[in-house]
Amino acid sequence: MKKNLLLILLLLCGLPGFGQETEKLMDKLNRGQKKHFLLFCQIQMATKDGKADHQKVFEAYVSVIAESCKVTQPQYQKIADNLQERADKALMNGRNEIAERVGKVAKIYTDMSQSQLNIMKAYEDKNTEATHQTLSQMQALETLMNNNRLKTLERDWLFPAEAEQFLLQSLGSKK
Amino acid sequence: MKNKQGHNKERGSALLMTLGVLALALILAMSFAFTSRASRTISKVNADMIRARLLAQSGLNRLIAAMYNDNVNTPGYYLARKGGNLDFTGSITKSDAVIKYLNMGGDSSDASETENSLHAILARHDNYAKQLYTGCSGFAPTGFQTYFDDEGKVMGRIGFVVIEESGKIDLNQVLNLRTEANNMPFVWADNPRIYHGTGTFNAATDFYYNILWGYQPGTQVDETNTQRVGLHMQELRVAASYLSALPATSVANRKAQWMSYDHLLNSISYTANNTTFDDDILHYTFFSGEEPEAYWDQSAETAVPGTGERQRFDITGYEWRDDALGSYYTTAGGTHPNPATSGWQHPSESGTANASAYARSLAAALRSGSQPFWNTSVDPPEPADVNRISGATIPADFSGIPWLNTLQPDSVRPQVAANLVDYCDSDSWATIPNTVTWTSTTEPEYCGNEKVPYFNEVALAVVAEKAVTLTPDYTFRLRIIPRVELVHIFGPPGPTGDLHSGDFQVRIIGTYQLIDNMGTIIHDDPLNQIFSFSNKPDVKSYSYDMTMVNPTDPSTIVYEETRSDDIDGATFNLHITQVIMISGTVNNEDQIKDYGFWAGDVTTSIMATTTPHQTQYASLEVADPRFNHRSDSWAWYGGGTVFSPNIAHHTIFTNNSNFNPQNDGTNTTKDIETFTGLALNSTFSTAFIRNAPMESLWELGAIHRGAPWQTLNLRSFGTTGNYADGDAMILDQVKIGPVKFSRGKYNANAINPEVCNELLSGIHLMSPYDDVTTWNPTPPTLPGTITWKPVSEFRGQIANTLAAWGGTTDQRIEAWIGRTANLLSTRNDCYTIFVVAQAMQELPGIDATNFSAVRDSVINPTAYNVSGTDRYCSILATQILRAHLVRDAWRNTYQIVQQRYLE
Repeated sequence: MKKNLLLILLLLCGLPGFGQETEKLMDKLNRGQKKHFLLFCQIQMATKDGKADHQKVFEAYVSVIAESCKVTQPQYQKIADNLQERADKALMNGRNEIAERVGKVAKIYTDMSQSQLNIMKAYEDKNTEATHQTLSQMQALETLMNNNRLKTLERDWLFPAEAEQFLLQSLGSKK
Repeated sequence: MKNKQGHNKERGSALLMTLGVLALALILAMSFAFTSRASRTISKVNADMIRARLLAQSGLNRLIAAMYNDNVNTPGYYLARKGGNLDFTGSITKSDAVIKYLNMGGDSSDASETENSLHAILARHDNYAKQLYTGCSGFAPTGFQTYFDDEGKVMGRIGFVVIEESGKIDLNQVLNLRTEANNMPFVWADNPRIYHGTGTFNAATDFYYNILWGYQPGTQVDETNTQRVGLHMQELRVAASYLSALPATSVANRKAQWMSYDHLLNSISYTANNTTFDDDILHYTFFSGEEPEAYWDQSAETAVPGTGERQRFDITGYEWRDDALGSYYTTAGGTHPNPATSGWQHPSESGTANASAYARSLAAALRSGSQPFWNTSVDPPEPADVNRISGATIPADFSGIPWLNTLQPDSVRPQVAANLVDYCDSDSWATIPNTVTWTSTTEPEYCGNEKVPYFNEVALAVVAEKAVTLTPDYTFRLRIIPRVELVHIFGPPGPTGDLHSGDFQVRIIGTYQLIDNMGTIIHDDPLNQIFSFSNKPDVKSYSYDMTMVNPTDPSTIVYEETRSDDIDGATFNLHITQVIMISGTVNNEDQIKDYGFWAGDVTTSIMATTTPHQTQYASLEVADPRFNHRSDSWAWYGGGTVFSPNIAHHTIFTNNSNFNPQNDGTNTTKDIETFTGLALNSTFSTAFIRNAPMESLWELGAIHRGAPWQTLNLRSFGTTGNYADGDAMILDQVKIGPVKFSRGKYNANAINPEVCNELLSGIHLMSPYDDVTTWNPTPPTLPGTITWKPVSEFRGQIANTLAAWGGTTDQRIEAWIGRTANLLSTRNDCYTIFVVAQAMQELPGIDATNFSAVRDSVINPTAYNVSGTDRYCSILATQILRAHLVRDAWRNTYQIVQQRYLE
């Protein structure tokens, strides 16, 4: 697997125009995300060649996400619980506006936690449809959190749409 | 004077002489008178005796006439026991054995006239009647019919007693009177009867009844080593002393026969206390009638009188095969029936177009009507030979099994016929219409069940792939990845029972589209995906085997396109309208092992994504794999949810979700099995294919009936042809072997529970079809209340009674009837008749007041009541006639087997 990843990386880096711009793009990714992206690229190439086993693709790509979620989901849940606690206190203190605002944020974190649970379940069930839907929801939540400057936990994987966009950007820069 | 004196001396001699002559004359006269008187007395006694004898003879004729004339009310056939006919109301019982008797006449002797009652007279003069009277219960006939002269005086009376013996077993037919080796009952070629001569079985030409189940016709049959298969009466076991007690004959190794009840009762050789036959008196008889191996077709009889008897179909194939084929047997491992020379398959080819055509022709011919039994072109008529197959040509007027063309619904008829052919032939190539090929797409009318793995489930993974790669370019792909489950429903477990599926292919037909998120159709094509599998390993007994296609195999690709622009929301719409499975030898329509077919319309939509690849799962399951060639036997897993993203949306390696046989006996549309819900590796009790000719009628119950969980229903008798009403009628239309006449079969209309029970002894319900070597010494437990079904001309009707006698599965319940039917008759009724005729003279001037005063001074006085009036008579002479009679219930004819006046 590692050997294949290296080959993909070398292949990508060896392409004309894939040099500095790509490197800049890659710099935006952490180590895990880079690895996940390379896996994505490998899947794309295998898929194009008709050599991608749908179950192996699922296993390889989603297992990284599911494993990561096992770690981040309790953290998201803890944040959500703390926020909810604060919201409850604010409500008890009659600070209704703050309570409402904090409560909404807590809800977002709770949803994120739930999505991560859903991902783990979908992975366990090998359910591609649920995986796809949940990842889309999770990505939308994360965008929402980013837009509202809410703290997101670092993840060492990429959403498929993110990876696809990233790949297109890379290829676009190649042009 | 001297002379005168001398003359005087001679004077009295004349007188003396005269006196002497007179005395002599007197003596002579007295002698004549005495002689005359004696002669007159003798003449009178003789006249009385003759009068009594004539009365007895007329009594017998009257009795037969009474039985015969009842036919007016029930034309065609009738049985004496049938309601509304002769009234056999008397019951003679001993333990659970019961035989019925009829006593005509209502005039009975006075209670004090014990010595003149009918049963007392019989008991005094006949051992059999005595044993019935003293050793059993219920035999006490009393009624006479009285005959009067012109003056209204009693001139005689007749007592009629008819004992129905049909519910007994004829010892002479159950015993094997040939006591040497090689004494298995067999039929000599071209001989219509079981062979009883001094010759021995010849495997090259003859047919034998494998009643030892050892396939060794040279083995000696005795009364302890037979098996209860349902082939021949000799397989019933009776006490060996019944054979040893018989004297030898002048022919070596031949025993004499039992000749009479006296013979049986008087034999001292049974046991030390000589009670064997006393105990068995209601079980066994010594006589029976011969009957044609024919079944009764009332419609044929009505159309053409005399043709109601029709040929039974020999399920062994011996009778109708081309007899130029040589021996019916193969000697490998014993003398087994050889399918290749049985007529059940092409005589020389297998897996060829000719062999396929032969199987199809035979399956069609099996559904033909049957020939009349009698050849009426000769006088007297003889049993007709059935029309034989010649070479590979099946005659147009082949004598088949009409019941097959009665089955409902009509569509199952060719299927059942094909199943029969494939059960009995030795190959593994299914009998299937010649329109079916490896590329055909129509539902086959039939597909015979062979002993092969069957298609049981096809699980599909439908994958929509999208790839973004260099340039950039975009690849869209639709795949269908099948997994095919085969099931091996046959035993035995273990390597020897494994089955080879050979090559097979699955074909999926339908349409598919590629659309964008606006619904614009980008691609629209028919779907015709073929997945081929070759040289698959054997499937283990009673287990599933799954074969899957490599998910990246090119054969899985339905659609594939690489383009430079993306398709927003690229989605595949898939319609599947047919799934066709076929196994055998690729592209050889004459070597098809199994054929699965489903048609309908199921659809799914899947968006193509880069990762993970969207996948939908669907699984097509067959309810009963023996019936997988018909679309309505298949259903998609999940009910209304055909496609699911759940990878576990299938039942590979477990029972199908629509595998739903019944086990509680309440569903009359399915066989009864022991399954409780879904159980891994469950199979059917009737899952058995011999790949050789049937060896008992029981095996008919293993023939699949062309609907899920239905095999031929031997558990019930009906005439509609519906499964629920039963198929036991077929048991009348088939036979084992080529015999044209049989003797001593048990009358299915008789009601003798203990003998019925004895008839079933030895049948072990746990025995499989191919091994009946376990003799069950415990007879079936009779139900508390036995519901005896109405009498019938069909022996199969006994199914309705026996089905209640136990068994937990279809196979086991059918064992009772299937392993008994060929031992049953409905035709011959056996009777023992006693006619007690007495010449009588009414005593003048005698009534109740003075009868006792004169009874010591008259010969054989008796007082009895005639229609309410006391009559006082002298019995002048008594004649007792005992006759053993066989009545043909179908033709209403009578044959006196034995007749005797008892002294």
